Amino acid sequence: MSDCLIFNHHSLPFDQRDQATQAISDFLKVCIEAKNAGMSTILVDEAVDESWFRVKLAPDYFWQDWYQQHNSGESKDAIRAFRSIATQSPFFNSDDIQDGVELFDVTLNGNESYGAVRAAAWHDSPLVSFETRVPWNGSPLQVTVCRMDPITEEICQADKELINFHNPSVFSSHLSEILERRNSRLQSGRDILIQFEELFPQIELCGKAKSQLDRWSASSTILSQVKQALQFLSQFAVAWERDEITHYSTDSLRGCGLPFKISGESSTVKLNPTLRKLREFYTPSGVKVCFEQHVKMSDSYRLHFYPDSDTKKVYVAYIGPHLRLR
Amino acid sequence: MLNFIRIQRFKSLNDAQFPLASLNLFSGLNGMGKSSLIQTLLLLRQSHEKNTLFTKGLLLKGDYVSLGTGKDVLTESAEKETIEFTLVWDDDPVHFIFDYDSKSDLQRQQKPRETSCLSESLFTKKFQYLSADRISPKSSYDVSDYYVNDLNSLGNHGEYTAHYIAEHGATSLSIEALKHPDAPSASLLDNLDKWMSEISPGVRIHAKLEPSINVVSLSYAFQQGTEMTADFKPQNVGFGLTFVLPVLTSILRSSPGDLVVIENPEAHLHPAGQSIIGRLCAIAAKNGVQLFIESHSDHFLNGIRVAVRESVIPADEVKVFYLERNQTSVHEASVVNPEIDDQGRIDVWPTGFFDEGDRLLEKLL
Repeated sequence: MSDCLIFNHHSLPFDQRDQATQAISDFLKVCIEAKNAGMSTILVDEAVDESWFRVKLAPDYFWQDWYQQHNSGESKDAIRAFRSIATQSPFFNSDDIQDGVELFDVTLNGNESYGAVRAAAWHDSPLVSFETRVPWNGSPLQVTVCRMDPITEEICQADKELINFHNPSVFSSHLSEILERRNSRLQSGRDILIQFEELFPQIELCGKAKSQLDRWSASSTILSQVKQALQFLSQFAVAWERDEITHYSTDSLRGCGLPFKISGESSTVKLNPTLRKLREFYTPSGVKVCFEQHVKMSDSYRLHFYPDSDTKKVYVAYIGPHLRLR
Repeated sequence: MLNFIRIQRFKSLNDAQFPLASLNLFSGLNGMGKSSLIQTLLLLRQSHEKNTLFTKGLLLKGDYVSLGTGKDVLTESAEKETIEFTLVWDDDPVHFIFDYDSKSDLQRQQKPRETSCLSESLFTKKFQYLSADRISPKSSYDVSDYYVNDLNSLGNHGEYTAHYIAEHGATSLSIEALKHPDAPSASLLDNLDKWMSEISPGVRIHAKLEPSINVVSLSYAFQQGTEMTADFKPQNVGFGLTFVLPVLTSILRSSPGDLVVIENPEAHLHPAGQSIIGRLCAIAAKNGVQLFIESHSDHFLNGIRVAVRESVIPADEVKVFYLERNQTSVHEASVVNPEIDDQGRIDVWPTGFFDEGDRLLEKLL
């Protein structure tokens, strides 16, 4: 699976304008959540307007019409977040042509004319569709892939399943798989740092954490645990920001699936000025706090964080060996 | 004391955070942005002195620093058109947000207002800045009653140091710990003589106000056994003496609560002299002076490390910042914060961080 979504323009238009209006918020939600999970680009057919405005949602109803009605309302934030996702066209570039895309066909229910389906199979990427009609309201889509060998002209045929995000619940059911794939692409601390804002938008690094990731020298096992910890902290913070979680507690964080122990500091540490100082860092807004909450990972590595109830963000200040206890 | 600074979209610092201590050392390869933090302080001060900081905004051209117009200072990869500084004194963050104006040397503040930070040393007479571009040796120096007595300043280039010594040489040091063990008294001049003698043995400083021609004459004599030599003009003794005089004076005359900013204190000094300056900075910092030092000198750093090991200053009162090119963006710097432990050891040695001696030695061995 690559890190892009394929926009399935074949799933449009809706029969009724109202149906389109209702479906858009789910469509935006899927795209934004996919972006947060590392799928930062949507590939669209060259016949589709890259700015989205001329995309036909229903008879006499275009994206632009919906946008003008909703841009100042409660969809404003979602629209803004959607805009931050890169839209690229066409489905295939010169590298794909060189790699033989012209000798590659895909059939869905006997129909070969679905360009988006072909692109999804070629790039091994999920489709993002509107839930209009069969077959676009189902996932996975069963397709047949035909590939011709350029030298022998022999045709190989195989069945393939394509993931089709036609509503948020389909996306959620694939989320852990997407995150796992994304995490496996992050090979070093610096990789995490470079993509940090994109991958973990509700987490901010401060204190020593940036430098520690940049110079990561501990084992890849621990790095993998760091990625997991950040991922679950991020999921917690996103849910917190949406008021799906009312307040931070170790239970609420565990509820997000964090597979490590979480702990605060003992009163011995908190009452000892020297030990407390080791755990005190400034948040980016200049507030000094004790980052006593920490995730316990292998080899006594610790990730110290501070869940800020004002900003509903999680600040991470320290990722490294156990801080001194004496 | 200034405890924390965050700088956003200013020169090569797209978003950098500096948790500060009493003694702050900035290092890095040339052009990496290590001056940017010091320039932040200077811009704020000069804007306040010109009465624009809280009424209009940030003045990019002034007595302390001249950086051009907005286009010269906004980070090249900036995604927002504001320059933002967050400064924390006593756990009280003050946010300055300036709107970018490419063509103007005034970057307007979004919400101009007075704040309680005006009483901090950055904005008062308890501030001294010494530029790397210090005044060169000559036999007489300008006099400025305004700088020396009203502003309590040696001048940004140390140009009024001789005048300050001539007027205040007999004044006792505010910080007793800065007194040289062999100094006959606690006076500034006696201690300048003794500390300068660590750099150039037996030196005696003579600074004399000449009211009739409104200059201060500066000369050096040297003790040889029980005798003193005749006076020598600064041009006729080592360059380093005159270069370090403002540095030593600024440290020795400091008092608790002062903010002292010095660029390249090691300039023209031999290695032992450089480490002595490092140690003196540590003593001043331990006694309530906050120092911001930009240095390329491993001897200066080692002077501080030894001071930590010998408990002259606690390790957590020293912060070292190394600025290096951000690996992901050629236009941005990133900040590494190597820590000194109580044995004077440093936990992280980024490439280029005072390692040239080791690298060359490796080639020689």
